[in-house]
Amino acid sequence: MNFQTNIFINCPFDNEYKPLLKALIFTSLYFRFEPKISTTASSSDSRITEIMKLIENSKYSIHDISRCEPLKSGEMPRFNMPYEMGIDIGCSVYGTKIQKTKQCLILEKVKNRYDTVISDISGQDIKEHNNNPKKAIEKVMEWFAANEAVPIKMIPGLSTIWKKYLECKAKIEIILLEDGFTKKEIKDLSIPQYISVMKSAL
Amino acid sequence: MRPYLKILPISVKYYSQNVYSKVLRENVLNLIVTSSLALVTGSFLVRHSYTIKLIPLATITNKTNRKRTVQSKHITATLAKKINEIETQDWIYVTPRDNMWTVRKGGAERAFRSYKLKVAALNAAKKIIQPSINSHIIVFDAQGEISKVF
Repeated sequence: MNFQTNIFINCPFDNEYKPLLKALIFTSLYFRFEPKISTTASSSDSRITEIMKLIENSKYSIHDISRCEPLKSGEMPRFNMPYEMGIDIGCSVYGTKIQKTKQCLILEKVKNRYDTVISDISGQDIKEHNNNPKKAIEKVMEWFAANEAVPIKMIPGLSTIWKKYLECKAKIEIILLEDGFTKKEIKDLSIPQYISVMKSAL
Repeated sequence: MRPYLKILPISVKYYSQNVYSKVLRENVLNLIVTSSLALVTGSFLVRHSYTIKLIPLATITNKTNRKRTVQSKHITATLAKKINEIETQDWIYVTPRDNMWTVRKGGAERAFRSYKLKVAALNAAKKIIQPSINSHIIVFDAQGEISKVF
């Protein structure tokens, strides 16, 4: 794994989040980064071991804490994303010399929502996406530019990259439909499959 | 080689109470039955020296009621190549933007035109599309998800 080009994406995998996740995957691939996402379904030791390896080997990380809320009224919120974010920040503070160069972007649904529940992360790079994939792409591009992860002259306008995103999605949809995939099968492509087809579309 | 039987669970919706069998190659019998018949036919064939091979999750997707099974889908290298090489200049994109619906040709930098109503944008797309096998109108929603392909 190439530390300099890996981006660890820490986010939920539910259907409501998928449009945002797809946008994050596309943006990473568009700028020649390799998105690293834990695809292990279990909550056992193997999952967290896999996540720690991904964190250790990724210079960049995107943590989306917008879904840290109870799924149903009266339930506890999900803590996986803040937990993994904590490991990543810890790695960049206590890790090796190269790991101290890690950069992370924290995405939120709305501005300053996290203040009430996790105020210790104030001072980190936190951006809101308003549950809008286009906005998420914009925030990631701004973060790339601010951290010189991508030279500014290489970063196109938001409308250009959004058009490219839609074109890539159309290519994937049309070819897969022609090949006999159903709409549901296309929608339910696994994350590694989606990364693979998006690489081809770009 | 002992003959063996593949029992494929199928969608009752498309194959209700149908029994479909085909000898695909020597000594291999693919038998597709409804779940209620699978056990009966299976035990019968075991008694007659068949080995049963259970296929756990075959998917039936053919809505035209043709008897066809489709195994779980994979993104093959050929498919990836097709995605990479497909020509898109004949495609028309209909997308929402700033409370309007824009119509844009594949590869074009600027929108052809914007409309207040989605139906007007769709009609415009249908008028400007070049009739060919590879021409499509792709309609997106505000989340960038494809809502319709024509």
